[in-house]
Amino acid sequence: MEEFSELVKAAQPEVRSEAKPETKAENYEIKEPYLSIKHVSKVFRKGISRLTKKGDGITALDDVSLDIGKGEIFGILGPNGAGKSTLIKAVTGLVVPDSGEVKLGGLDCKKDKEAFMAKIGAQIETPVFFNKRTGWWNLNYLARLQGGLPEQRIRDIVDIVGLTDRINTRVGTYSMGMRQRLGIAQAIMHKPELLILDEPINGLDPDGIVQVRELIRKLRDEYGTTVLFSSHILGEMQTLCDRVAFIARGRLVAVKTKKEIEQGLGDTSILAIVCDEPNRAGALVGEKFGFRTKVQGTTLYVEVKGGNIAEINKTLIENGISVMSFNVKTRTLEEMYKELTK
Amino acid sequence: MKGFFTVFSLECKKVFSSKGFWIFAIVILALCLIITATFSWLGEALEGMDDSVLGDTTVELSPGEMAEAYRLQLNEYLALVESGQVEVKPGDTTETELRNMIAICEYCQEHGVDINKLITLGSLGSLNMSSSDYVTTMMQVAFSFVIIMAIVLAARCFAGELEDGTMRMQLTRPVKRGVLLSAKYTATFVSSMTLGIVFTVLFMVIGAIAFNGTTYDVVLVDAYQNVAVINPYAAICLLVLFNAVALAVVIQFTVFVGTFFTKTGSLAIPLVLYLFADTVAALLYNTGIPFVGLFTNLNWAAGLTPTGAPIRGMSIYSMIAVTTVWFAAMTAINHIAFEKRDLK
Repeated sequence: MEEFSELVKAAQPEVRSEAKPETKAENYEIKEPYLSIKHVSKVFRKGISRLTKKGDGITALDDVSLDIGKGEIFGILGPNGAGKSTLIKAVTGLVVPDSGEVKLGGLDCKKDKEAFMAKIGAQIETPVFFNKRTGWWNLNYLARLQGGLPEQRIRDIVDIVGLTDRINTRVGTYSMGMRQRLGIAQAIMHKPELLILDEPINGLDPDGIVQVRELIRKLRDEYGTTVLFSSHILGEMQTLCDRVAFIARGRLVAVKTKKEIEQGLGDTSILAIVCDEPNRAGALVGEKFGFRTKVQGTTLYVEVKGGNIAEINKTLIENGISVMSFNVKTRTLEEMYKELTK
Repeated sequence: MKGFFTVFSLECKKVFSSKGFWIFAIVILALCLIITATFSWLGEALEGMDDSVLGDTTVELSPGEMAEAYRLQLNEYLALVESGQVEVKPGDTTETELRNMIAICEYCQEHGVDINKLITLGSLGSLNMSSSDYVTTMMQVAFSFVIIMAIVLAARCFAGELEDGTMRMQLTRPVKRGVLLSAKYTATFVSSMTLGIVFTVLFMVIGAIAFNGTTYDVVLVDAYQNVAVINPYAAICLLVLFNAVALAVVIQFTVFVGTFFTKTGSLAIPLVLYLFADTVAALLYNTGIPFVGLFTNLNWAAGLTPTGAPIRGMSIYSMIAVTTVWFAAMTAINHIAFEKRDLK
């Protein structure tokens, strides 16, 4: 209890301070996976073929395997309908996979259902509550299902998510952001070992986003909570996650560590050069450096790998091409995402 | 089991603290009081009337003689019905009912029981208003409303929660699906049953006040015209039991439908089946299918007669067996289907 109150105190001032750069998650060699997802497949079928598991259907997950270490913040990235939510639901047992297994610290998702779920705190898709009841009633109800939590802890959690003023009004009157906050509150109130958040920052205001980010870091640093979360907001992934999995059409496309992402982004950049003879300039650059080029109007785009930016400028000037402007655009996570999920 | 009681008590609290439950309770109470008022008015209106069956009632008759007189008249009428001279229209006393009444007359004659001091279950015996007649009739009325309420509650707490996603929130807690399903089922059953019992006690109080506590014994006739007479309090307990069985089956069916269909389906299908159960039973009655009588739980009471066959060709034991097998099979399918279901 006390340690939890300390967390509250500690979380409050830092929520407003700037996010510190994360240095802890550099090296991700997982010796012992905490959450292991093995060969999970799921095809959504209709009618009787649901039982026979044959025939056509929508493939939501196709042989997905993942290992997540203890205390890791793991992100899942993918376009709409890629299978992010289905994967998260398969982990929480809401969706029954056709094949494969999910284990959390040796506990099987199906066989040791209760012990498994006791270690998980989850907020899946849009948070849904009993709309005619108050936020407090809803939290209490879920706390009782959890096996009972001290009232003070629920109050602390309400404080952390900043809902103290509205907790005694009906959930039906809440805005999207407030529901999201209540959803996060119910997910973390029992101090889960594995926190699963599906689109946790949807509908949150900038303050809320910073708070959630800080809260996730805090939970991991202080309690060693493992966090699995999906988001569409790429910037969020980049700042928060230790590793990111890219999912497309139900398949796991790539898993990249934070370092890999940063390197991948730093390595490649796009040069936008406005000059008088873009076509000749493009031919020159392509010949000398072997980079891909593209001309649009008076602008020449060059995909640069590694350094050489100064060299390019020098070459152009030496060949008598007058350069009007020279812009360096580093490759964004967005572009990386597009490439990987193509 | 520990998990079950936690979820069960939570579900009960949820039902008892919901507005819907209390609105239902008040509406049912209001309807029953209106019916009570109509009855008491009817009782007063009928008080001065002559007993039309016997014609001249100035002659003092012993119970045996009175039963004999009834029997002769009924036999005469039955002969007319059998020969086709009198056409039985819907709503009239049917041939079976006539035979049952004759059987009752014979019983009274044999045992020297006053036929005017006996009541049948579920139909107000028009001329002999008594508190036992009132209570048993009103119980049937109240329980039919309670069953409708139970369907709504069951559809809301199961299919409704599956549909709006609150079930998902509950299932991300350390609760087994089977436990959640049975706890929700039991909570709906217990809350509806509580309401039914409260109403029964209320009617007993009203009955005692309005009818000076006059109680008559209850007469039961089975499919082979065997007669048994039971104490009115025993009859009330029996009715509570039969209604409990009906509630259990109906709620189970609603939850069952809810596992496969939407909330609307889970609400509409059992409701339509229940409201038209009598019509369905009447339609099927002529087909000679024996267990049609399972629909009308009053038939069950006839199982207490010596031979104990509420329906021709089916004893009370086989009726209990059929119901148990039905209930167990549906519950098993329900649990398996729910375990395998993907949640939205």
